[in-house]
Amino acid sequence: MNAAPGAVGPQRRHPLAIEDVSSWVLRLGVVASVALFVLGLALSFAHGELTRQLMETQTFVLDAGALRRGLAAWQGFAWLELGILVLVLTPILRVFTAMVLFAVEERDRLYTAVTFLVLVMTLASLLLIR
Amino acid sequence: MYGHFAQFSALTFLLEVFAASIAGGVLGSIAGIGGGVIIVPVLTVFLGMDIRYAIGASIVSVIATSSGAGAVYVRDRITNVRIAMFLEVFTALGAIIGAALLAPHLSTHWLSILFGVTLLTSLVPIFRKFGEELPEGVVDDAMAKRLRLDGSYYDKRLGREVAYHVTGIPAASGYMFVAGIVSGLLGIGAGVVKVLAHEIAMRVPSKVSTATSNFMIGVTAAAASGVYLNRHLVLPFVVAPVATGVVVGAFAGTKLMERMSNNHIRQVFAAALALIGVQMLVRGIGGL
Repeated sequence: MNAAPGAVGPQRRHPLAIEDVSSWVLRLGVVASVALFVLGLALSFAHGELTRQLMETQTFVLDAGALRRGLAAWQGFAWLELGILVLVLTPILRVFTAMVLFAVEERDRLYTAVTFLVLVMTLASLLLIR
Repeated sequence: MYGHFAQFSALTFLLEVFAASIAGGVLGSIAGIGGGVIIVPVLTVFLGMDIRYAIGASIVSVIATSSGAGAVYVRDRITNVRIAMFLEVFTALGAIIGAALLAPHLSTHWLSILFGVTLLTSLVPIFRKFGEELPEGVVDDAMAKRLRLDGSYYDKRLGREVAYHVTGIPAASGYMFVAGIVSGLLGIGAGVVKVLAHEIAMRVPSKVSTATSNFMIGVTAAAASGVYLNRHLVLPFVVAPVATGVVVGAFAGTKLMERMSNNHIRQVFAAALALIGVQMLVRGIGGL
């Protein structure tokens, strides 16, 4: 398939996979994070740890080791943290899959470059700015 | 025992936060904004939470509104993915420049006031568009042609496919850059600026405008959330009920939005715009 500019009409009729894949990625991310949130709250409640004081003071601290131990011990808080990580990564995964589809499925260099730029800058501000 | 009472009080708090967040999700998904306009005041004014934590919970939850509503709109082909992808470049750039270069030199109070005044001023061109169901006489500009940004969507209310054109890309890119700066500095998803760019500069139908904004704000919010996570301003026990609530609200909101007229959606957006403008003024003046 040539990416001739004149081929815009018929291309638009073609069901673009990017829309459907984006929708799946977003839905998967939302469902997974909400499930983790519900599980985390239920675990905290079951352990009798759910107090307003704790809710309003215990902050997210990224520590992979502590997170792994917390998850293994079924600590509600750790499962909530995992839910937040899944949520934050969802839109980024959405951009990543779009980039791959623009490159592989549509062979559209311009939009592959555009999505790559977005991905790099989003990761940079997520990871580097403190 | 004290423990039982404490858990009971915590459950009440959870339910209050959850219920308020549903409203945030409904408004956010219809107007194309994240819903922080509801979440932040509910957490601070009504539940007495520190504003920094409220903003931290709000910015993470914006990702939930965006992903929940975005999944539906993009599946239903209302979102213009190309517009979203292209304009996200400028938002991301603005967010980096805002947070990394400008943040140390700017007073967020004055910035809030400036932003509030700008939003309230932009009510004027939105009011002028009241009564307009679909934009007319829009011709693709050179960049929109080059980037193949025009599109069409099926309007459930009108019962037909609506084709539209896109203009004002340079101006819209500027709006998006500002949206990025503002989100990096003030900790808001800045969906409101994105919708303004779609409505005023690019002149796309309101449904496409709010759906595409919804799709974009998740990326902006994810980028901005890093700062809040790193500074320990995110409370997972608060994010959990807020995010769950906005997702429920967002799914309900998408059902409403797809059946509303473009004109009504614009009116809902105008109300949110006014509310955010006033909120920014209050936040700025209050902090001076």
